[in-house]
Amino acid sequence: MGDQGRAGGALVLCVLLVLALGLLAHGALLMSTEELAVSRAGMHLLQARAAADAGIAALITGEGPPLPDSLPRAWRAPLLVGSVGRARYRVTATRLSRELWLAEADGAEDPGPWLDREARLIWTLDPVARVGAFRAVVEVGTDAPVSGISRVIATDVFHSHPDLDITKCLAWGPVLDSLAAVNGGTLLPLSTISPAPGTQEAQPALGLLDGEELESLASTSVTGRGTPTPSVADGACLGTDPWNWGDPVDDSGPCHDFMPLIADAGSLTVDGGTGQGILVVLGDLTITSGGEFHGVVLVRGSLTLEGGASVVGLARAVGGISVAPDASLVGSGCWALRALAASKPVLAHPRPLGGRGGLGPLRPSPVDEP
Amino acid sequence: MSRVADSPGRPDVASGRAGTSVAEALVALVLGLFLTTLALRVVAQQRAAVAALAQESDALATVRVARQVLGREGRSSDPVRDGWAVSNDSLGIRAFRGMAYVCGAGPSPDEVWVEAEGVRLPQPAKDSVLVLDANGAWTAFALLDAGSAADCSPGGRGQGQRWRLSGLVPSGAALTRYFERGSYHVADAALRYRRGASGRQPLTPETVRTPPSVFLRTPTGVTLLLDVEGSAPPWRVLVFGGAVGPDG
Repeated sequence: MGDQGRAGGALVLCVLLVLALGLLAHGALLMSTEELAVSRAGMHLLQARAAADAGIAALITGEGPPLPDSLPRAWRAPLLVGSVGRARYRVTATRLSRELWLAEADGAEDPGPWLDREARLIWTLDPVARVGAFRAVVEVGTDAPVSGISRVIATDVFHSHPDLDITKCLAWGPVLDSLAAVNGGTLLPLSTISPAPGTQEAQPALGLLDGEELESLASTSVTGRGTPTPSVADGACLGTDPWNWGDPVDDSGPCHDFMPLIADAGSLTVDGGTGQGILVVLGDLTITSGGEFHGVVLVRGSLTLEGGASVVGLARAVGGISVAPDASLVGSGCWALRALAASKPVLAHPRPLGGRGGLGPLRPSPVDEP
Repeated sequence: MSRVADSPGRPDVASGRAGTSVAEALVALVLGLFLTTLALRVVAQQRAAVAALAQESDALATVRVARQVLGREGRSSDPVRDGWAVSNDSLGIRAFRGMAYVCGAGPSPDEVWVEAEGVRLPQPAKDSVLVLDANGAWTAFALLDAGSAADCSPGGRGQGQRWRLSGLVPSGAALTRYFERGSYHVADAALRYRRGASGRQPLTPETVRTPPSVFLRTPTGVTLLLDVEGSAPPWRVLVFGGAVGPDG
C-alpha cells in the first residue's frame, strides 16, 4: 500500500514537470512563430521598399527614358518598370511645373501586391524656365561692384533685336512672347542673384547646377587666355578644338549650330575672337580686344568687358560687372534660349530636390491600379 | 532469539519485513526529496524562463516599434530642411502625415484646392502646411480650415479638399505637404511621442532603460541608441542616414 502511494506521488510530480516544460516550450514556440511572421512581413516590406528606392534611383541615374517634355502640368506618365532580385518596381512621374516633377515608385515582391510607395521631388533643367528665372540682363552678387551699367541694353530682350538678324530666333517666338508677358515685356538691366532652391549663397548657377557641377559637365575646357575662332576641317566644324566656340556670325558656316558648354576653373581672358554657347568661369572673366560672345555667361568672380568687347545674351557675375565705354552687354532671351537648349542633353538630367527626405508617408497603390 | 521467536502473539515473519521497510522508506524518502527538489527547481527556473521569454518578446517589440516609427519619420523628413531638434533624450521633428497635389486656386488668395493623401487627412487643429512653388521653394503656413471638394487628379488618388491658409498661396504652387510638430522621447522606461504641447504617450512596452538610451547626432545621421531590458547589447536604431549639418 505504502509503495503504491509513493509511486503515485512521483508520477504526479513528473506530470507536473512535463506540463511546466510543455508550457515553456509552447511559449517559446509561440513567440518564435510570431517573430518569424513579423520578420517575414518586415522582410517583404523591406524588399518592396528597396525595389521602390531602386526605381527612383534608376530614374535619377538616367537608366530609364527621359522625362517627357511634352507632358502637360499635373499629368502623370508611366516611365519605368523593372526588378531587383525577387522584387519589382514601377515608376511614374507627374509634372508639377516646367522643371519640377513628382516621381513615385511602387515596390512589391514578385509576384505580389504593391506593398510600398515612395515619392521624391525631381528637378530637371528646362531652358525656358532658366531664361525665365533671370530677373535682369546681368545679375550680380549682393553688394558686388558695378560700373558701366548704362552699356547694358535691356530693351527688347525677348524679341529679335534689330541688330540681331537671327532667323533661328523665329522658332522660339511663342516661348519668347510668353516670357515677355510674364516679365512685363522686358528685363531690368541689373539685379541681384536669387539663391537657388535649398541654397543660401549666391552662385553662378543654373537652377540646381552650381558652378563646380557646370564646370564638370563642360564639353570644352580652357585655361588662362585665348582667342576663340571657328575651326573647320574638311568642311565640318571641329568640336575637339578647345578654342572653337562656334560661329555666331556666319549663318551658313558649319560652326553656326555648334554651341558648346565652355568652362574655366580659374580666371579667363578672351582676347578677341567670337564664340557662342554657355561660358562658365569660376574665377574672373575679361573679354577684350573686340571679343564677342553670344549665349549665357556665368562667372563666380567679376565680369569685365573692355576694348570693344560685347556679350549678347544673359549673364550672372557674382563678383560684379564692369562694362567699359566702348563695350556692351546686350540682353537677348533668344540667344540664352538657344545656348541652353543646345546644352540641354548634357544639363537636363533628373536630380533629387529638397534634401534627402522623401515625400511620404504614402499608402501603397491599390492592386488594380494600372 | 529463538525464545522470542517462539513466544506467542509475535509472528517471526514480521520482524524480518520490518528491517526491509526502513530501508525502503529511506530510499523512498530520499527519492521523494530529490524529486521534489528537482520539481521545485524546474518550476522556479521555468518561471524565470517564462519571464525572460516575455521580456525578450517585449524587447523585440520595443526595438521593432522604434525602428518602424522612427524609420518612417526619417524617410519622410530631412534634419536640416525640416529643423530637427536633437537632444539626448528627445528628438523634435516635423512629423509629416501626407501630401496634397494642388488642383487650382481657391475663391480667395489664401485658399487652395488640393487633393490630399497620406496616413490620415489633414486636421486644421494640429497641422501645418508646406507649399512648394514652381521654383522648388517651400513656404510654411498654418492650416486654418479644410473642407471637402471635388477630386482633381487623373485617377483620383486622394481626397479633394479646399484649404484656407494663414497667408497668400504662392503663385505657381504645385504641391503641398502637411505635418504636425511632434517630438520623440526616451523617458519613463519607454519610447514616447508628444504632439505639440500634449502629454507624452508611450509607443513601446516599458522596457527601455533611461538614461543609457539616447538620441545621437553623428556625422552620418541621427541614431537612437536603445538600451532595452532583456536584451544585452544596446540597439542602434538609425533614424536618419546621411550627413546632418550643424543646424540640423
